[in-house]
Amino acid sequence: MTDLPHRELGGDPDNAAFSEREADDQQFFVFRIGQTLLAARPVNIDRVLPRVRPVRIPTAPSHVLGILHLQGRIITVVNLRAVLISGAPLPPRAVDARTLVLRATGGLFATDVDQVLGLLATHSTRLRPPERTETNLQSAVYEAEYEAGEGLVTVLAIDRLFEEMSRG
Amino acid sequence: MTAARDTIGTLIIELHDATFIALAEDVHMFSSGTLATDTHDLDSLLDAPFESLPNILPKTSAETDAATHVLVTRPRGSVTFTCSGRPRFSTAPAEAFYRLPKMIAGTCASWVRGIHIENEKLAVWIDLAQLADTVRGM
Repeated sequence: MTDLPHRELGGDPDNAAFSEREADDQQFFVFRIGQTLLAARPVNIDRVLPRVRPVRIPTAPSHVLGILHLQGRIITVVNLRAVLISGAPLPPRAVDARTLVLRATGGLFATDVDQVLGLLATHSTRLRPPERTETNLQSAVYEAEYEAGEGLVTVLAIDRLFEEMSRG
Repeated sequence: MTAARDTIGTLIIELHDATFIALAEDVHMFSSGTLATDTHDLDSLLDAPFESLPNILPKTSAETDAATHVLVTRPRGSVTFTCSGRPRFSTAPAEAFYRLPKMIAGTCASWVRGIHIENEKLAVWIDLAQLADTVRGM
């Protein structure tokens, strides 16, 4: 066992190199719908719930699964799988399924996700504009993407997503 | 002494696993049995996506034999709805009614008014008078 004196242990938080390294990392909250990895900025995450069954609202647009009541707040649950994700869905694994409550400037809304990977950091230089968008909605709400160990992660612009979902 | 809460007369309609609530003042009566008049199927209306609303046809009298009928009286004529659930009159505090969230407020039909929450249970607040006008094409 190395017996280092205390004064030689620990990084210096005031050292410029240390500060720059931390500042260049960006954290995103990453989740999976089907085979697609999506991410939102931590400020846009309100909470993660066990998968909830929303109350259906008659005549609501098809991308709206319903509403849920959460501690006095009434929140719309949207089906991001239907509007953003292409390709065949993976077999559902109920153990990983969650309902993710998102916070936009316009208000809260929620979506069902298949798995939550949590907060993952990436270096700012790895972020790039989305290379491939297939629909107008994807063009509007896909903000950036980056390669992570888990695969390609697409960062969503949550405020714009809220606006697009509100248009029906 | 606390002020009495405003209470509103309501009609509760439970269909399948969903609960709907309407204002009792919009309902003239409800009854069971066969009606000779054309009726509109409330089950279908409450399940139907907005696009299919104009295609919903009145039920035949044979189909309405076992249904419960809800009669909504409007200035320009009454409309009868049938539903498989058993409506019941009740009361609810006024503060239990909420408008729809902003995200869907502008996209639902005008007769879907909002949400009713009481004892943590959610019901969809519908405007039967407006729905009656809608199905009559007014």
